[in-house]
Amino acid sequence: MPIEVKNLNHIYSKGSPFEKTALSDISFKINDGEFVGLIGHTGSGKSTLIQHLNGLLKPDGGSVIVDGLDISDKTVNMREIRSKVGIVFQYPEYQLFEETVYKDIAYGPKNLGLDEKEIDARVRHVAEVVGLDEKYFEKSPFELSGGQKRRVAIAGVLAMNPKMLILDEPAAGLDPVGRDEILNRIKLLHETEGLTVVLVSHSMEDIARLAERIMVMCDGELKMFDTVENIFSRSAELSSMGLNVPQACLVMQGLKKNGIAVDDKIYTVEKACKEILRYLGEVGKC
Amino acid sequence: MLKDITLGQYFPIESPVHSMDPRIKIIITLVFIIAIFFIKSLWGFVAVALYVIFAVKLSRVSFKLVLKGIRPILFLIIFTALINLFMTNGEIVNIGGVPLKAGFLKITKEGFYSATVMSLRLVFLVMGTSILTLTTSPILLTDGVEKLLSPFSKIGLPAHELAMMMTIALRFIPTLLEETDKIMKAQMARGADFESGNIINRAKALIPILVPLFISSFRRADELAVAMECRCYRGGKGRTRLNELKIGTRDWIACLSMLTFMAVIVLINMYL
Ligand SMILES: Nc1ncnc2c1ncn2[C@@H]1O[C@H](COP(=O)(O)OP(=O)(O)OP(=O)(O)O)[C@@H](O)[C@H]1O
Ligand SMILES: [Mg+2]
Repeated sequence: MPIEVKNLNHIYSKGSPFEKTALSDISFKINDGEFVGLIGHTGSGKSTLIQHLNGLLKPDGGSVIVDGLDISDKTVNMREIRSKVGIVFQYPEYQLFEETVYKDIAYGPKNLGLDEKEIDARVRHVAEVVGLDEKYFEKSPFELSGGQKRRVAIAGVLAMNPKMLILDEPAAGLDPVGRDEILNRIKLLHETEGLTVVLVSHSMEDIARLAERIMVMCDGELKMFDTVENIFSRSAELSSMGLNVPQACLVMQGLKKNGIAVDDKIYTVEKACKEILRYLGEVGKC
Repeated sequence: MLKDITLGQYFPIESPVHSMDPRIKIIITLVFIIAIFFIKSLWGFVAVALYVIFAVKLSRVSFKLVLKGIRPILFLIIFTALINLFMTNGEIVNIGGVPLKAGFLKITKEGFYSATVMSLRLVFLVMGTSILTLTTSPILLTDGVEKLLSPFSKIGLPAHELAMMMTIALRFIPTLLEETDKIMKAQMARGADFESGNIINRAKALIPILVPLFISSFRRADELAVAMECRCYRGGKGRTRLNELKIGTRDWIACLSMLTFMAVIVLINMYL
């Protein structure tokens, strides 16, 4: 289910003194089964962009085509699009409202008009996917810890069975173990079920580790959309946009600059480690 | 979506009216309102119109915005005008020898006159207060109200507390709207539908918005209270402020213009 965005513009509070162009002339295409990272400084328009992908915001210009359906088209059923493209918002735990965790996860599938059996199967499946034990099902979502709430909220979106999952900083405010766990589960979902994922994150390390292609936004424009290697090899441009590259990348680039013949197209710690060991082995120091 | 509702309607630009002291603006607006209720002749309204046009020009706010305030009460204005037009006793108007009278409804000269006067009064009332709210930020407005009410704190009126409550409420309305917007979107992403269905279904559809909204409001209120206490907030007694309100030359000139206006109104009432 590809998503195609053509010359998308979005202006907030059009016509008032607070008018603000949040997106200007954005075009790209995301293919089936891709894992795309979306980065950009605060206020660069990331959240605005992703809300267009399932029709929560309507374009002020240009078009968004989801699976062949134009979201500006009045005859298109929005529920259908929203069941195809799931969005997990920043701090999604603030959307929880039901009496029990089970009911909250079931809210989405219920809105889709599924029958009880199907709903039950889905709730159990997604709870397992996000690593939520069944013993929590009858608890109130408000009794859970922050990380558990986050899982319930993500499960609630996954229960819609979307073909594409968009996550706006799913790991913000979690402890290191919690964030790795959640991100790894998303990666697993992408690998096992072929889910298309768009991950918004401020952590270059996470993006480097997980994504296949990266979109870089700056002041409402899409500046780059390329493979991870190509993006992080342009570190000077990135830092002029207020972004950095992963630490491992900087180390390798620094080594190369100082005449040590290592591969500088490396962006995760593990690979950097291997490459340095390889180099040391080669020159016979190790 | 929800953010498009502008609150208060403050229009943030720079002008001599914007930079006036809020207390003076409030007082002038009050005097203005009282004045328009004393006006009897249509000439008085000419003076009022001139004064309003002058104030709007000076405030650099567009006329359209000032007039926009009338729309919500348009029904009230028309209703008042019709009641006055048809129900006032007096000399019945004849058109081509046919008296305009049907049952208890009649059009009289007096009715026509009082309908006009009442509608003009309401229109100018709204325009006058619109100029005040368009040119004064809500925070300055509450500051002004607090200062004006503070003499009454001697007889037990909690002026500071009232103003603080107003300030906090005003401060959090945009936040709440933003939050509502966010929660609505999150639930819509889970297939919620707020637009279709009958009344009961629609009311039910609000639960997924209201519950998270209430919870976060209580959390916010709690956090705010703690934050205020941590910074030793103890109520109004002995508090100084960062920006003291100051009455300057501009404000005296404004007062002078108001006095002139009042004098003109009185003269018109006496001689025209
Ligand atoms: N509802 C709104 N009304 C008006 N302006 C808005 C609204 N939402 C966002 N903006 C503005 O649009 C711009 C883009 O905001 P957006 O939330 O898309 O940024 P972001 O890239 O997601 O930032 P962050 O990394 O902080 O989440 C910002 O300058 C913001 O001030
Ligand atoms: Mg954002």
